Amino acid sequence: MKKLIISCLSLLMFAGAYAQNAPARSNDRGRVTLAAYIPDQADELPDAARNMLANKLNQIISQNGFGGEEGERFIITANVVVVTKNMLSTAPPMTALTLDVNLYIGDGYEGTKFASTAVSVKGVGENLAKAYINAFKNINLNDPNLQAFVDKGKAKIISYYNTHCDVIIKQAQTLASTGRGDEAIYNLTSVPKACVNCYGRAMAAVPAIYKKQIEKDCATKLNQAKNVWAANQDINGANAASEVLSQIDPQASCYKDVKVFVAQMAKRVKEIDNREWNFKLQEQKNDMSIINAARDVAVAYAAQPRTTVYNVHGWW
Amino acid sequence: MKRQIIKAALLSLMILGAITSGYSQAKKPTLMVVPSDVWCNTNGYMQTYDDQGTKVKIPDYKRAFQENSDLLAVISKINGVMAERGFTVKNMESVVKTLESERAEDAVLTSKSGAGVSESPMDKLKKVAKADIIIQLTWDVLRTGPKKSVRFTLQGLDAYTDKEVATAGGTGNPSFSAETAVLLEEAVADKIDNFNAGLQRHFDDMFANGREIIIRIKKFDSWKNDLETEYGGKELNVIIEDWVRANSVKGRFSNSDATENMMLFEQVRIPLYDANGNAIDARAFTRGLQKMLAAAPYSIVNKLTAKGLGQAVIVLGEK
Repeated sequence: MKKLIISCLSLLMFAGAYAQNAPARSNDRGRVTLAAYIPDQADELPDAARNMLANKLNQIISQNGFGGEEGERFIITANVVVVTKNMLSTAPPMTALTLDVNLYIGDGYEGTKFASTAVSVKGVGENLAKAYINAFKNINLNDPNLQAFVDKGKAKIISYYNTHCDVIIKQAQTLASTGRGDEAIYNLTSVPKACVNCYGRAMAAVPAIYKKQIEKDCATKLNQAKNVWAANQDINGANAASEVLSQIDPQASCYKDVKVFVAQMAKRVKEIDNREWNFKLQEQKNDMSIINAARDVAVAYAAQPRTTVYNVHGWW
Repeated sequence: MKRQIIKAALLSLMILGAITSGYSQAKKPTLMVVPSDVWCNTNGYMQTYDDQGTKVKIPDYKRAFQENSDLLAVISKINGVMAERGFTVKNMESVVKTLESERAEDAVLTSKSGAGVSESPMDKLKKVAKADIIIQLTWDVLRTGPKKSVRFTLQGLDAYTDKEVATAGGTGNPSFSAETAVLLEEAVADKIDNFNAGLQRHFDDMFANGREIIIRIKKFDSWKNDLETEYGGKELNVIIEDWVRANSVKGRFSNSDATENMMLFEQVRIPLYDANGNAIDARAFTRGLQKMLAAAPYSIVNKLTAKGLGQAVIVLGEK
């Protein structure tokens, strides 16, 4: 019964607006997400120019209502082709470039290209990097061709989720059963709201996985706290252990053991130091908080530094 | 002998006076002394780039000015002598610095509404040191035992027609002890008059036969017509050529290249003044052609750009 209530509430919550005080990045949950990815180019891009191009791609992402995080499955990437390059022996020396910036949206994990377009830009500068930067500055974000390309890419991404929904949910459950609950929650909360059917099914699968995750987390953190306490059984040890314990979700079934352990520590501190030690336990979360907490798990997972190897083979 | 020298000096002064009084009304060509590519390469002031597989060397003028005091001394000497003789001389080092500060100012210039300065790639490309006549400077130090002398060349090049309008060169007197800078200054003092005589011949010719300019006609690829499109039974290239013939001094010009997409008019002699007595340059002269093409019956939208006093480009099809 409790599970059913949690599930229903979670669906209501995810379908509505997210909590206003949630971290900014968490607003990307439920949106179609794209990561900007700049692969190595045939003509090596100077670092400053590379940053400028990445910035342009991120502008395309944000201006078109995408969410964007590093390591996302779907990517927007660019291949820069130098059409003409002229070095002028003027004072100061000038470099003039004509570039074809080929843009692609696709599945960076499976290496499937969804949409592509080409933008021709010209740039002049006192050196190669400045010429590239000035050329990338001239990429017009309001170009109708660019808009059509983005719309096509977005439609393909939504179509991907609708056709792969069963696989996504199954994979998430497999991940959760192998102790990778964070990743499972992240994958499920990555399903865009625009994929109405799949979004609902994915959200319904979240609470059960989140519950599993907090059970595992509770056991791990309680052990950690016990080890800290065992090493140093005084007020300082109690404070160190309490830092670990404060991260445990009160919804976990092992939270009663946490309370017992806290009481033991308080008693011991009283015996040794003759001091009162009070550890303020986390308040019991309501159902709304559970959903926010699950979403925060996904955001925390997304924020972890990791290297994603994208496959863009055959895109250009 | 003495009398002859005085006569020659007076004659020179008279010629110079005539030229400078003429220039007080006509648009004056500017001069700029530039170290030659050979000098920059010999003295290690080059930058190397990879131009799509080809190694390209480009002079690094800024570093040359910052590091070579001999270069500064000799350019200063030439600039001084030329300025004394009434020529308008630009100092390349100062021009480069001014351009740098202008670029920085443009980058930070913002309106109250947050708008920045509009600048096309072509605008950026034009932000370089320019002059109507480039004085290309080359020298090297020759050593014969303990003696050293300076071999020195000055070439005056018209920036638009690429013609060598004046030249001077030779080897200075050898010396056991003099510094290179001193030898250079002596060599400049020794050669500059020959050089100025060449420049004066060029200016005399300009006053007699008009300024020599280049006109390029191009088309935007978005324009559906070309230079072979007929208007009233005449191809556009013929119409343009007729206009240049009718408006150039004594009909003197050379149509060097012509295709359906471009035309190149070289050695176009234009008057120094228009019908109202106003001094004109390539842009002002070519504006007449631009207006004719924009008006009926042709009604060709076109863009006119200029490079200094001596080169104008009309691109047909769009602004």
